[in-house]
Amino acid sequence: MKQRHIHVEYLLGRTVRDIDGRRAGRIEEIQVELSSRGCFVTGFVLGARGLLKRLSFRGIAPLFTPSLAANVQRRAEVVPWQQMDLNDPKCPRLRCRKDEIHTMPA
Amino acid sequence: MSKPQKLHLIRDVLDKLLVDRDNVPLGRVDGIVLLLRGEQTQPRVVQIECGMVTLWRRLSIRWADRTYRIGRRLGLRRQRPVRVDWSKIDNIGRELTLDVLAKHSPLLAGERWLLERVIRHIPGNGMKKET
Amino acid sequence: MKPKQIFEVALGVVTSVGGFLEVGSIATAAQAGAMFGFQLVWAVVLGTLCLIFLIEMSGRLAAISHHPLPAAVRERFGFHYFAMPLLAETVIDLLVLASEIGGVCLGLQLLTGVRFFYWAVPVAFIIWLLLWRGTFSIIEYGVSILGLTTVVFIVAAAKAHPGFHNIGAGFLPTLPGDHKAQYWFLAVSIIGATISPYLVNFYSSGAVEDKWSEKDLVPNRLTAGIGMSFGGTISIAVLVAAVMVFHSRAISIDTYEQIAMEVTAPLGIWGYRIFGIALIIACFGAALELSLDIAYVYAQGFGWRWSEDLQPIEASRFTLVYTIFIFAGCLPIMFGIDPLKLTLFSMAATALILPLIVFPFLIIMNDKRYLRNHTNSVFANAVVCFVILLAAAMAIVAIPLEILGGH
Repeated sequence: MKQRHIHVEYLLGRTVRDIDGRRAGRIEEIQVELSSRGCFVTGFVLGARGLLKRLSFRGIAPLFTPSLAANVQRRAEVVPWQQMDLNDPKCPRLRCRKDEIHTMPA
Repeated sequence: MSKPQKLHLIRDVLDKLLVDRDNVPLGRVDGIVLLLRGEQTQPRVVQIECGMVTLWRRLSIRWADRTYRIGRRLGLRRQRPVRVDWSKIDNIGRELTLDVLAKHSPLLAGERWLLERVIRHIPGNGMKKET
Repeated sequence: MKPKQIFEVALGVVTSVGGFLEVGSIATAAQAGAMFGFQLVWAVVLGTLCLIFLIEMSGRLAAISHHPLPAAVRERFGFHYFAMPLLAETVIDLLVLASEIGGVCLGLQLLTGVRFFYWAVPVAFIIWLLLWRGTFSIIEYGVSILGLTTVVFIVAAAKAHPGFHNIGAGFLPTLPGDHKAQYWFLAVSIIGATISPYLVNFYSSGAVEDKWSEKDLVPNRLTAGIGMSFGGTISIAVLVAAVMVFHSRAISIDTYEQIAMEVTAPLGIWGYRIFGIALIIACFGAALELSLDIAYVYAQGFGWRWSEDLQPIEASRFTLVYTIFIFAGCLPIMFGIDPLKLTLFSMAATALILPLIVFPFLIIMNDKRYLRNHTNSVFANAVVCFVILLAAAMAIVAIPLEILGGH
């Protein structure tokens, strides 16, 4: 594959499907790690919980129901970069089945 | 460079204010560019992007392209977004501090254009008279 | 509190009063009083209470995070969300600015007899000139202190001896026998005129301009509470004076000139003149704040350099926004559009965009990264939720009521 540039902001909110075409969730956040070599993507946060986490929904969740607060506090689903296929940024896909995602800590 | 080790790109970088070494606002992070080099290579953040075109495209790529085509037919030049290398980011906190000076930054080209073409011709603009 | 802080609070209260009363609150309160007696006092009280909380929160956000509200909305919600209130505020603020310019022009018409539309361009030019050459302190304090002339409405209301039990009865909502659509249209317009988004944005930007910090939290609370209550009291006085002059004689208000009768009847020709001056000053102050507000929203949202204390050459894009805005705002008045109709329409339209403005409070005011340990209490969150629901309900009914009762 040739090297190519893609825009993070266009990935935001895109629906990700797995290799069977099943919906895995929307990209709501992208995790990166900084090192002396640069800034590298480590994972993609999928689903509504990712959005709630991004908006710091945790702060107001107890207003509604304590269980919702606990739910948001739980680790969001993060797909490691190795399992995300961004060849077509308009239609990002998983390189595996939905239930084979090796989720990582948010 | 005092950067935290782990970041969330959307929460901590996108839409954040950019300032120069002297804390002068330069704009906001309107876009972030990733470099992909095949399936086995980790995607890397290489640049941040600023400009109305980027923002417009964020709202709707189709409409942004359509307005671009109309503009081209009318003879308008497309204003290119300014890209800044990730390595120029000096600090990521409440704002993103760039290792540049506002005076020379292309990020303020629009501000300078407006100043030269419009504002400086209106009396009382605060410009000291040249002696 | 130290004497200096007490002085700052007193100045802040005066500023809030000066900024509170403008053409929208005068027109809606007068219409309400003329048509429904004391029955809509509750709408002014409800709007004022909501505004006190929102103003306090926006001041707290600015004092702790040094971020004004529009900047926080863009950073926290992204450009997609920010674009909606930006577009909505651009349209609504333009309509309200046109109404304010209309108010100044009508005040001038009352004093000089020269028709209002002839004044549109000179008024717009003076507004622009004051922003171009003035500083934030001049705008904030100078015009607002002059705005105290609106106290004339309290004098007029008191001289009419309305009876406090009558006003007190209006604190509880009651439905009128007929004209229900007009009643609700006016209720929505009053609340829309009171919870003006521009006031909230302007207040938080002003707090950043004044370099507020954690030590300003108590003055902020007092300014919001006392200042807005005082402003609300003047709005109620407008309504009360309208009841005494118009409702008791079954006269309806069709033009702004009639509103002058509110103070002319109890105070004579001097009341008429003071009304003209008060209308000019109140609307002029609001027009300045609106013009600055929209420039603040654009500059903060797009990350431009901004401050009224900067010279135009130091913040070209910021000055360009208010320049375009002011001259666009004077066009409807220049073409002779009826300022009263424009005002009532703008106030109801403000209700449409309120949910977009209020919703971010719920998220931002609970974010420790902005507010550290000064995030909202459970009670403050409950109030925000209530305001969001109220704003959403008003947004849904605003257009149907505009069609059914907006005439």
